[in-house]
Amino acid sequence: MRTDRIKKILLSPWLILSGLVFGVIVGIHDKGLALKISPFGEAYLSLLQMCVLPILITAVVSSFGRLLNSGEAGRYLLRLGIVFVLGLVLAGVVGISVGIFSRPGNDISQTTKIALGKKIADEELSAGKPEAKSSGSKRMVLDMIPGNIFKAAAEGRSLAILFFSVLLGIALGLVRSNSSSVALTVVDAFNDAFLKIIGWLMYVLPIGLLAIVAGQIASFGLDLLRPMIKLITITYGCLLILLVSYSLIIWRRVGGSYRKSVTGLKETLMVALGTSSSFAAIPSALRGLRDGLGLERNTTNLVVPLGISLNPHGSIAYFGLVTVFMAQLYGVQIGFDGMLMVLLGSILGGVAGAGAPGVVSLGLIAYSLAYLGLPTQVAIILLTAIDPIIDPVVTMTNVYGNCASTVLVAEAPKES
Amino acid sequence: MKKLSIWFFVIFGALALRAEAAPPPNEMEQILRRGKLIVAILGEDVEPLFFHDAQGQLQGFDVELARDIAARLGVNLEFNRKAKTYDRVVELVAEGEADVAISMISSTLKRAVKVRFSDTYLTLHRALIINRLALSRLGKEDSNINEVLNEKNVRIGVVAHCAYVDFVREDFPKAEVVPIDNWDALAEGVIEGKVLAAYYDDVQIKMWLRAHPENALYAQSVVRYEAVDPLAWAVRWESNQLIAWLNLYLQKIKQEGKYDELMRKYLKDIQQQPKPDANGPH
Repeated sequence: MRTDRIKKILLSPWLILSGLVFGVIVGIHDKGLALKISPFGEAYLSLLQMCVLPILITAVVSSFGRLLNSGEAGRYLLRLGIVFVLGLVLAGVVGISVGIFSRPGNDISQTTKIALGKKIADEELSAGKPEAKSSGSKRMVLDMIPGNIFKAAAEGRSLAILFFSVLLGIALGLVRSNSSSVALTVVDAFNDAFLKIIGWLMYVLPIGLLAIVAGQIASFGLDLLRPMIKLITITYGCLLILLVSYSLIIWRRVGGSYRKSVTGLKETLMVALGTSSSFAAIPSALRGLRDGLGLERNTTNLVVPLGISLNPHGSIAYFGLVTVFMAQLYGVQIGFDGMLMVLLGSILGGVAGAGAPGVVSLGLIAYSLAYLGLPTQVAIILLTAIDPIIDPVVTMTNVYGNCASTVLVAEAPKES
Repeated sequence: MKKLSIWFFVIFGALALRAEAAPPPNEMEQILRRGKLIVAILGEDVEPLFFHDAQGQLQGFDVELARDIAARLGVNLEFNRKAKTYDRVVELVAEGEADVAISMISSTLKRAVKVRFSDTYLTLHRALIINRLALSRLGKEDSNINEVLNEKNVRIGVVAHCAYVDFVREDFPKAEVVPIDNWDALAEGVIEGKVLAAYYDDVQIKMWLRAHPENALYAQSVVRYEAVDPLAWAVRWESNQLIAWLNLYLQKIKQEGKYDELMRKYLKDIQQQPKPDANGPH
């Protein structure tokens, strides 16, 4: 009884939030302490990520296997496809529209231009050579097919792992024998075991977040915060629109009180915000959707892992918004066809960059900048500088958008 | 009598020849006799090599070297700043209007036909500024810049009558070379898209970016660390002793630490070369 109470306190959203807030305070006021405790934060993040790949593989294999076994695969996957595609397009449209209406790149003062130019010149001249940027779409397709699944897993190539897991799940589902259903049960058991480990880690989430956030804040350079404040504020506004929309979608679909629908995923949102890693938030999202919102296991296991790589709404909206910012900064007009190409580029770039570490994924903005002929290198330098304060919210939007998509897909079996 | 006259002619001729062969005072003796060293420096200021400081005093890496050289020779110093171009600085020395050019002169083979160069006293690197939007529109932002610029339809600007007119032809033979009067006009040409790129040394490009950092938004800078621009002092081709003295002087100031002191004072944060990255040395 007493243990349950302690567990409840440790998992309280207020305690988790306090961990985040204290992390920010320590990071700002005591950099020495923040840098001392940041190794604990890194260790905690490693622990959270330790089980992510096995969870992703087991979840996708088991959900695809059972889906194929159930014979409802066609309808289900069609609904999944429609929800994903519509979600991606809408997120891109929101990002581009916010950019066009709020004009973050228009009327930039000379002081701001000097600050931005200084940063760019410093980065370019100290690097000696422009850094390697995006890989082309051909590369993206090639990367998706793993020559060696263990190598792909070791390199954390999520698209390749997903590709393999989907194939294995489909194959297991089509075998239709006792042994295949035993195999699926075993896979489920492993999935549960990995989630159990993550469950233990959640008890120390407040302390883990404190250490992670303090370290991030302490090592964040503030030199570009002022000149970029307009873009940062507008990005936050844009992502807030998406976050509120998702909370309403989840509330309408799940029913019950609005508060309950939000708190059901509080842990997931805090992990995403604190770690800036959508992969680290997968286990928590699976638990939250199942235990907090009462969704079916098969749906969450299918949609969440796929969505983390294929459905990153926050990144797409951000890429769309930043592309409009860059066009305004360089005085490049965006026509209707330009907007369509920016939308397509943002979706491609967002999907290609999903799951990659923040700074690497930023290079994929090249897709959306390409049609308008905007300089990728400038975008990368500016976005890298503000990434530590943008990435947590983009990650949270990616994860929450994916949860909203899962809730929308989960409706299908109930309705049928 | 005949024999005597022959002897007379032989002795007289030998004396005459001896008088004719007596060498004129050499370059060094002329300077010492004159009590003044005349140093040619480009008429236009180029920071941090030769420029006027806030108090209106001529300062800089080259200026301090010239002052030190004159002091160690024990003579006064006069600057000849009549030249409007680097090529003209070299000509001033060749024509005897100055004893030595200490003026950021690139030691090229073409110039070495007219004058004699000392050992290299400073090594710069060839560098570029490139119009960002134009480069992106070519769709070649990721490509090797040396290949992108070595194309027939590419216009590369250089300051007229300087070594970079030759360097651009050596390094980008296919490109169209556009000589422009001075660096400011050339840089403006890149920003406005009149030329795709401008070719100059890394020190001047870095100084330009330092003075106008906002331009980095519109112009990408690339230092070609693999392509050097060696600078040397120029004297008249016959000035054997002066050039030997200058080379010895260069050795001495490097041993004494004077050279490093000047480098720290004027070129500390400009001449730093980035550490080789994962892509290996360039």
